Amino acid sequence: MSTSRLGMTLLSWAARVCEPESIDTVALPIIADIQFEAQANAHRPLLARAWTRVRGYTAFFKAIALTVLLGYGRNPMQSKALGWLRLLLAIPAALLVTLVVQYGATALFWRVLVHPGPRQVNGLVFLEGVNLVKVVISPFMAAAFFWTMYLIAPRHRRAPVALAALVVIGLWGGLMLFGAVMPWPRFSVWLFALGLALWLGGALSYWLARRLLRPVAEAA
Amino acid sequence: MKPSERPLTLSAVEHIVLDMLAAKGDRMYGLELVAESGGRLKRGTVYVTLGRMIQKGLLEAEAEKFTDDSGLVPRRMYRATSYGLRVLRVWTVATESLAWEAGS
Repeated sequence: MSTSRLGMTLLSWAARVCEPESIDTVALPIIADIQFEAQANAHRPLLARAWTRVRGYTAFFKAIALTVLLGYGRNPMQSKALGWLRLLLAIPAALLVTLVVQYGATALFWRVLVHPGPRQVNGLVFLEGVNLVKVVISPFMAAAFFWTMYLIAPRHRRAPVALAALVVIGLWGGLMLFGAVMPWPRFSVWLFALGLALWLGGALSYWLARRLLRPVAEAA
Repeated sequence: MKPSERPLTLSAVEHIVLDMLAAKGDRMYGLELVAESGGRLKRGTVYVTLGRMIQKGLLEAEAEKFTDDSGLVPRRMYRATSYGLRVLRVWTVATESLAWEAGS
């Protein structure tokens, strides 16, 4: 079987996002129809031919998008694309959830640690209170980032995603620790504590995830 | 519930496809179905529907055979299976009966 260069490009693109079965049942028939339609319209004016092509390619992309969206979970044509989409979605979703957790946890601990704090005088907030809130919420932020990545990732990719999330949290905390000791000989205790708190949240989450993954690995 | 255990349903589009193939009594390709449906079938969705119908066992498809070496991808020709035709008959009778009951 041979096909035009554009047909091959469309096919190779579809192969990246669809299961082989979807290629056979959806992508190939459309490409074949586009080719035959182009051949049948070869005598028509350029604009008419171009319009036919545009309609053909629009139908192709629409059908592939539908295959990816509807095929998932309904039939054996379970799409690789949705898996990749979930992986890509995991990063912005994890950042968003982390921000929400940061906001919520700050609001919660602010009331406990800052507002009625014994060192609050004349309505002023002490830096120590604010820093303490930051340290306390850090493990929650790390956990929020980790678990969002972990839960959004496809089941079979959870182990590498958990490791990747741990590395990100490790770098994140490491940056804090670096910032704490970098203006040597000055040393920021709060920044150091912040880095350790992030590492603590990440490490605990990873340990728990490993425990959750173990039965899956044993079953496999 | 596995797909095979699910009760068979026939969507409106699937009904149109089966109806057209039964009326023609011959194989048709995707674009032909769209062209002859009078706007009831859309080009961007018909192939997904056809794929689903093959999985359900309502249709069978085979690649068009060329007599010359044109170098083109062979078109996929669709035909209703005997099971698909039986489902169409039962579905038509059931919907007509329901419509009659609703009207009386």
